[in-house]
Amino acid sequence: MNRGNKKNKAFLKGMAATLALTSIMGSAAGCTVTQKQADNSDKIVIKVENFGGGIGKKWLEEAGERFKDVVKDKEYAPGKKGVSFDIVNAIGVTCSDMKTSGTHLYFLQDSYNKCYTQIQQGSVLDISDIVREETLEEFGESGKIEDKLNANYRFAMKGNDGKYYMLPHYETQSGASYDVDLFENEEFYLAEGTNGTPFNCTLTGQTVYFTGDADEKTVGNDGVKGTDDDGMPTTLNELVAMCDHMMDEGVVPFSVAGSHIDYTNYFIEGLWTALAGYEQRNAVVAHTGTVQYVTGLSDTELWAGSEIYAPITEEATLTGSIDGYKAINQAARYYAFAFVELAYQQDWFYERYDESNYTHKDAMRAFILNGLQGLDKIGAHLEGSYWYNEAETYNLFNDYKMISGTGTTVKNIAHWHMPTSYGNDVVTGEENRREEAIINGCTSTAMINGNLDDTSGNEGIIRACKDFLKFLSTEQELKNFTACTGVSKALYDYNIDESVLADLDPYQQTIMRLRANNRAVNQYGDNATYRAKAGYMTYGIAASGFHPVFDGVEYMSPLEAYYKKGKNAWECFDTTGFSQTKWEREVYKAD
Amino acid sequence: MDLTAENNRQPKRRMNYRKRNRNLFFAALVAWPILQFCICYVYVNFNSFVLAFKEYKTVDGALGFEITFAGFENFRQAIDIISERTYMFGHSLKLFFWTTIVGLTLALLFSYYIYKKYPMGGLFRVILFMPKILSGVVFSLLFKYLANDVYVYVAETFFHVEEAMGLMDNPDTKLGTVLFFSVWIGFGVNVLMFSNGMSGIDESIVESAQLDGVNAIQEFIHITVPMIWPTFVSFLVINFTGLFTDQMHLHTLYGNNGFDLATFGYYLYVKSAAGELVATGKNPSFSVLSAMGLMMTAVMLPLTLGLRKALRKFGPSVD
Amino acid sequence: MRKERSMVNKIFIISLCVLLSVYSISIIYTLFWGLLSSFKNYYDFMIHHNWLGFPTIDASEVVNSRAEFFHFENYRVMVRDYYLVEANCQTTFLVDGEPITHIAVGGFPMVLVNTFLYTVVGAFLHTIVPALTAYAVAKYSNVVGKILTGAALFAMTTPIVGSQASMLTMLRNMGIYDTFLGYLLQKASFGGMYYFVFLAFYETLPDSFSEAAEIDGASQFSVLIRIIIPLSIKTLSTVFLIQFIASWNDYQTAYMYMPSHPTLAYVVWFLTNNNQVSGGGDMPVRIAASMTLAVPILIAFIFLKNKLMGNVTMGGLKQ
Repeated sequence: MNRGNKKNKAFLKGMAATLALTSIMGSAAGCTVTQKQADNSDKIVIKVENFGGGIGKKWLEEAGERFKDVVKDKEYAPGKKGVSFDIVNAIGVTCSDMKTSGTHLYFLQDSYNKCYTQIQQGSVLDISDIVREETLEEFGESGKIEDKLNANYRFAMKGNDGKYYMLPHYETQSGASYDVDLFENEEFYLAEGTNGTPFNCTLTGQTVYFTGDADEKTVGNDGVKGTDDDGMPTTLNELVAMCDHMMDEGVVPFSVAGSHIDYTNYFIEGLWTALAGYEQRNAVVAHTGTVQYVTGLSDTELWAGSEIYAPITEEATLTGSIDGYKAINQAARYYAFAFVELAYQQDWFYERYDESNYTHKDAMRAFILNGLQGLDKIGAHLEGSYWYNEAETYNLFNDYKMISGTGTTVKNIAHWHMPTSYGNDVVTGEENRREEAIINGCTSTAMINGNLDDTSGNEGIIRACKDFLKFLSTEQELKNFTACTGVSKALYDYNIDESVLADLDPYQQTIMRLRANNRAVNQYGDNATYRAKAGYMTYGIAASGFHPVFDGVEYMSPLEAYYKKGKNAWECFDTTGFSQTKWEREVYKAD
Repeated sequence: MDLTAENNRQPKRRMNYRKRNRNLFFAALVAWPILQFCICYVYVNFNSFVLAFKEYKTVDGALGFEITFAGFENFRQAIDIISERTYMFGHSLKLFFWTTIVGLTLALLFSYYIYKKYPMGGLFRVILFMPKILSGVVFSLLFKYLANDVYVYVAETFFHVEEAMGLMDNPDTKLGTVLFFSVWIGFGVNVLMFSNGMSGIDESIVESAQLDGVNAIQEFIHITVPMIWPTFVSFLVINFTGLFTDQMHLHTLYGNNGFDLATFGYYLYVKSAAGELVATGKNPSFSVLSAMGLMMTAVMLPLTLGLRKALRKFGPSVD
Repeated sequence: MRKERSMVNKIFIISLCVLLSVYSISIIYTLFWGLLSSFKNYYDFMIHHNWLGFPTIDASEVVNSRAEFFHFENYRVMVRDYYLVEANCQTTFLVDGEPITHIAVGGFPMVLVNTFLYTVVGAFLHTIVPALTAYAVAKYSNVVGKILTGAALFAMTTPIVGSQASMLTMLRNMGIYDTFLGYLLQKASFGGMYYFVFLAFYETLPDSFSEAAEIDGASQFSVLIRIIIPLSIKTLSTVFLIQFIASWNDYQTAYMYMPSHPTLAYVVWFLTNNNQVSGGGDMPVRIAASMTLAVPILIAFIFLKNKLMGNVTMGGLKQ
């Protein structure tokens, strides 16, 4: 036998030995690594899955501690008093595998469609008893949860059988966030009358005045001086002039992530909602109310030299879901698309918007650090308001402190108040003030796993989960939630005290005040068409209404269709709208 | 006793015994694979197949869904989707051409270089396999930054190109760049298998041919390729089966933003992740996606079998 | 004639050498650039536009890469933030209505154990099962064999939609979810492209080897173990290597089916994509994490390459 064969045999023996050893190790590892978690035998253990993005889990841990204290002497099962929590914070949490999951309680950020599917499949526990029957007396309040829920949206937390299955969690606002110090230093606020510095906007054909002085600012949508929206545009043309002026001064108005070009849709839906007003915007899901809808395109340019044309509109009062397509074809949506097309033409987006490597984190950084260390000046960041929590998690404000040398992590950022008219009716005072409707940009809910009901012996866990949800719905806990996260609870009517606001960062305060002073559209409809085909009426960054399809290619945003395909606002609006025939064929379902 | 008859029966009994042994051994070898396939493929995916013939509708006033037999309605919708996206055929075919025809041919040549122990063959063997060792994810990550950010920096700084655009972002170059990437990292397994097969070629045949005066190219074409042909056919057929399922690394490179370069594999992957029982806006329902998958199989399966047969029958021979 | 052949050979060899050299340089530069970038701070790119140079280590610069270069900060993220991985690696699921919780224990050393088990045993099974099945089909040609080959082709050509929940449910009901047994059950399948590679190999393997042994009285099992396996050891070890590397780099399967048994690939993926991690998602941190995954396998490959890819002398009959 030659040396080569000897070596090969030795090698084979070595491999065999390795495999045998590995198998033994595998069996041993299998026995030791996976184990039943040590049971807190004297307490009920609530297993929670929490969506790890967005607002994180600190609020849950803190609320959990307070709850444990309140119920420490309550016997949930024979020999078990009080509760403890086992919290898993996962990015990939969805309600898709609830059926065989051992998780008891979910705090999710998942699309309404997915949550609705789980409810319909019987995977979610009926919580009607704690919402509409039981009071919160145990936790110091006399009312019921149902009383606290926004009356217009109670139906949204129910299944098709009319029972409650979910409770709302947090909400985020869509739109833009701007750099206050930059606006003040560069004088980008609108000035009242002829105060401030004049700017001749060739796009609108108007001379507009700008200032950085608080006393000279316009009153904003609320018609009152000394509020957050002072100096902010109340008409679309004022917004155009503002952006034109910023660009003229060497400041790029908007930053958006190239890798997430669909975040532009947050801005589009924020602008659309403000322009439309609450009733019109809500009509998209409710199929009631009066809308101005588009029937064609005129040959009148909206802005000089832009080749973006004004729509031809008609007014209609919706009789029901059969007319739902008119709400989707509303003029305000077209104007939002048109503004973004203008912004694209005028290079108002920071130059990296078309780069697939330019992440949302990069865009946040570019905005937070704008103007420092030779970086370009950027007026605003386009994303949902949750971006601020994410930026804190990413430690970007610590980076700001280090690089700016200001010694503080708090940057003066505010929500960019959007115009509320696509006409020329500027708000001048309280007599012609307008509400700035806002839109909740996400669906976030709390649910109890329905499989708890399938086995006996779970009564204690079910009771504990229900008690915890009741506890979280008390006035104080709602305030604690906002104080901890800087984010408001969706669909709950509760007061956010000045004391809560005072501890929040400037940006979070502007969001809280925005919410307190204006109605928020939540995209839930109480009709058969919505329940059957919610995806057609629900707008968000992934919505079909913001993803035009041309030649079979789906674009993540109208902006992407503009720069990749050379399409315009009208084409994007038309292709994402509905004709009556298409609506009746694909979407409409009779009540 | 009739010894002749007895002697004639003995070989027959031995044959039957041998045949039985062979059959038993065959059964022993394939028992587990069949069982595993039935459990982990047929049983698990049964619902996915049946989905193609179902339609889910919401029920007003009660929980649950109304599930009806959809006949071929889902297939009709799938055909509509495909007919609106015929560009995906082009992308899939281009991918196949570059990674299979061009990529495999280059892999054959590189393997031949290594097999003949030409200069630095050992080093090249290691480097060709490196993208496979270090994972496509690592190379995708590095390639993305080099093809976009570094390229732009170099173009603007050293070549004074104004407003340069990344190779993966520029609509004129992005498809070519992605195809290049697929070929660039795709040599490892092919080269390994080909050079493995080539090392088994009988040296006497090669020596004899060299004595007859063949040069390296002739040896490659007339001896090496025919000898390695079964392995080449395997890879060709394997790549062909992936015609409609290959994603072209699009999800790694572009996430969900790669629809303008989409292949059918990418489209199905992204839409499956976002899919629901009931269609929601731009996302087809699971039923329609399932029907689409079955349709692709119905087309690809006979084509693949035919290709395999044809290549085996009409491939080159050493003679 | 000889001169002409020599000239042709030279041109052929030089052309291939140049092509391979260019390819090698592209691969090596890519890795070198990645390594260099892993020692830079994000702001070195953003503010200094330092895409090609060495890390900025000038202390007078407000933003510099001193911590990343001198203290391996991007690499230390993996160690420092590892606790986030373990906190995330737990799962609770129902078996017969009873909740079972699995948690990850053992820290980083257990990650290495998990990785070893996952890759070595998984790769072994995913090599030997297709090999034995292919051998059975090739050498014991019958209807069952044809069905198996058709099934393998079907599985390769059919994109499956929405079956993940089904697989999870089945594994949980069988009580083998989040166990190595459950994972190995899936890995011990015969399907996949290497079934066809083995099939091609065994179909061309001369029967004379095994026939000679059978005549000498060897059983089917003996023929398999003493003749067939040694003859196919190179192909087996090559496929094993490829499967090992694929498993080494696969984080998705581990995450999905064995959440409390994190492997190195999952740890790397988590630390580069989770926003709780300091620098998570930043380019230099992602590259550093990728390098961490890449280096051990590269070292192992360099040491083992000859054993796994080298020539094995064959005994028995000459071909």
